[in-house]
Amino acid sequence: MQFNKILLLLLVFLIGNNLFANMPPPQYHPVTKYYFGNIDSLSAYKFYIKNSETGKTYKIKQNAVFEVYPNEKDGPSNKLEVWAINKETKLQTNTISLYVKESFKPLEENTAHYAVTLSFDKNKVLTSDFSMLTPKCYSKNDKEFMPVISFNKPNNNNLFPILSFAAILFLTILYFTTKRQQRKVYV
Amino acid sequence: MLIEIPIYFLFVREKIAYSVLILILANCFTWPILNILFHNTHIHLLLLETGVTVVEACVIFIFLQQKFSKALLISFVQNVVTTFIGVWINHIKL
Repeated sequence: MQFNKILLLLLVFLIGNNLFANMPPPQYHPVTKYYFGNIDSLSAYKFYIKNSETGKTYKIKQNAVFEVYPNEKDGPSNKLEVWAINKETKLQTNTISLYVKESFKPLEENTAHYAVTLSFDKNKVLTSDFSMLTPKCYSKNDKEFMPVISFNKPNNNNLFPILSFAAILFLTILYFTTKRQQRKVYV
Repeated sequence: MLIEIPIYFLFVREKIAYSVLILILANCFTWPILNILFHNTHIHLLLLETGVTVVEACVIFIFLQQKFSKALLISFVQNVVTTFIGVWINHIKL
């Protein structure tokens, strides 16, 4: 009887353990910021980056930072494509894709910070190494790693339509006011 | 805006305060739209700038009472200068 109880408990434990083992852990898709810190050390190349979400291409400068946003809709994942062009030969290298880095724990401000170290292997193939940055590395107080210019989407996008609408409203009012004044002058 | 306003006064030097107000309003109208479209669509920057040039030329034509051809020329010069400064500062590849 005692033995059966132990067996039953063991069975419950094993089943429970297996169930939890097969359960996927929660995955977070934080905004991922990539910091390029060694561009100046590869002076023989010009580096470019293309944001698949906007289709825009930028030249990468030392300490530049770029963000990848998680997909809002289904479809191909947003990514940043990085490549280099040799200044002398004008030959383009292979392209590296940088995606949103998945995380198994929620991150501060839902943002993952990664330093990208670009390098070339023996066959002149562009390669990359990533290291996750701690808050010390990217915090505003630590100016050593904080890039001066960042090429991100402006965060105050909500104000843009209001500003635009206010301007066109003011112009319209101004137009009708001056027209009315002109009519009065003629009368 | 700081660049576009002095450029306007290279062509026209009258009603300074009123002209500044109109140019600021024109920029406040076009710049946010350009920004939103540039960051959220795949429309080429030069195409967006062409649209901005035409809109600003219309504003100069209507409010500052310049000939349309002159308004278009002023707007074109203003936007060419600011576009290339913007491209250079932000390292945007055209």
